[in-house]
Amino acid sequence: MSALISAELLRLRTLRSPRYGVPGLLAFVAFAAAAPLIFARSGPPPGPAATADSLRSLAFVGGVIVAAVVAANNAGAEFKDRSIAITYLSHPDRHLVAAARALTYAGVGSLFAAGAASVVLAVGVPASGHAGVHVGFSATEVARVVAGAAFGGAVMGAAGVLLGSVTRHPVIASGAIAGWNVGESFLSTAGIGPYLPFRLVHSLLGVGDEVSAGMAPALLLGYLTAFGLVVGRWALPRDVT
Amino acid sequence: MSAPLETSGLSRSYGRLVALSGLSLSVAAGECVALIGANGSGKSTAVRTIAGLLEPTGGSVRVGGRDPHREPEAEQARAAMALVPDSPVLYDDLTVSQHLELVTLSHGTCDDGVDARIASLLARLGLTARGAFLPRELSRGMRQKTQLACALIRPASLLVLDEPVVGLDPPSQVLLHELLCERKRAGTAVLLTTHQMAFADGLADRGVRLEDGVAADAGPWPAVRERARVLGWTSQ
Repeated sequence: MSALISAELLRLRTLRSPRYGVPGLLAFVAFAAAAPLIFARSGPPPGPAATADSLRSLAFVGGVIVAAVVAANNAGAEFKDRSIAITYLSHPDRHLVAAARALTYAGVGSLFAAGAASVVLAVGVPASGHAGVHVGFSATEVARVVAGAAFGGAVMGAAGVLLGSVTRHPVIASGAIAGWNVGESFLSTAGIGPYLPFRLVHSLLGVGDEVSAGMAPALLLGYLTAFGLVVGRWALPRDVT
Repeated sequence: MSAPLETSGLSRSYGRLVALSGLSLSVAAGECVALIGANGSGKSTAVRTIAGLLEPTGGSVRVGGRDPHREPEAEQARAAMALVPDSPVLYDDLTVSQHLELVTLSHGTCDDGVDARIASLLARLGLTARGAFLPRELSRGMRQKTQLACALIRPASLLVLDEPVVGLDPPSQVLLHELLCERKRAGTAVLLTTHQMAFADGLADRGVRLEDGVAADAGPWPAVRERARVLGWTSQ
């Protein structure tokens, strides 16, 4: 398994897009955290609670969702351009390959999401203070947002790999993540909304607090495990054409 | 002791199209079997099914006595064979050397001597100067050599090559011929598909000619080659 993870890391570090994409995304996240608070707008400024939730949501989108989309895109692209055959021909166990890939993107997704959340807080909190909105994140709340983003990025990074392995297409895999996220918002009124994957990550970040901090990670890992079993049973054995 | 490759009634369909039907063949250790046939006769389907990339719709494959399509024995079966696909499939962002490093990492044979083995193989294939090049910076022939290197860098008791000489210049074809003969002498079983009859001369021990997915002829290579020539579907 460690050799397969090394192989995945070799693949990741040779990708050119992250060299510019990661700094660019973090810069965009920083801008997005500061812009609404710096630029003057009409009407009263949002309250501290609303501003804090906005920052948490930005950490979710800029960190967790991006980690999932990048993982799904990269995994789907390998199937679309058939380069996955190199790995499948070199390592005979597709399940182990998928597990190593999921673990690798979980680690990378965790780091990226934690970094994005840190940037959001480091920029957004002072910027809101500058605009006269004192969010007042305690050290515990800061740790919760960063840790929640890290855990969410890990789970969604791994899920992105699995989704890319199912769809075998980068655009479809990435679109499915965006679509799922939107779809969850429609289900929020059905009572099960808080227990759906993306809403659970929201809870981890402190948005809503609808599910306890103990149950949310357990449910997320349960979803990931179930998805992994389904992918391993039906998607991985499919033909590689 | 089980043969490196045995297929029995191997079949594969794509919807209504029967691409391969009832192929039974075996390749012994140190033996080379050439699979020939016109375009669309089922050669690539056969090798991709044998390699485990396609699921058979009928029959069976045994590599060293193990089925590459059935867990848990599939892992050992697939680990024992290396495939060169009919067209190069390489990662856009990996250099030639990094491809070989990736293969050895994935195959679990990335030890202390791997750098020396990679350098030696690159030198043998005339790729030393291209080691740091990306696939898009390589010619078709160089990409094909990189694909060959990916198969040759790892140990395998069965080597499956699908049209390996496409894109290779004549000296490179001679070099590949020598490399495959060396592997044969070392005991590796070789299954080869080709349209170039001359390439199989001196390499293939037996031949199988496919026609519309069915083995229409089989036997010693010189005889199969001669009968194919008489049929006129090849001029070489």
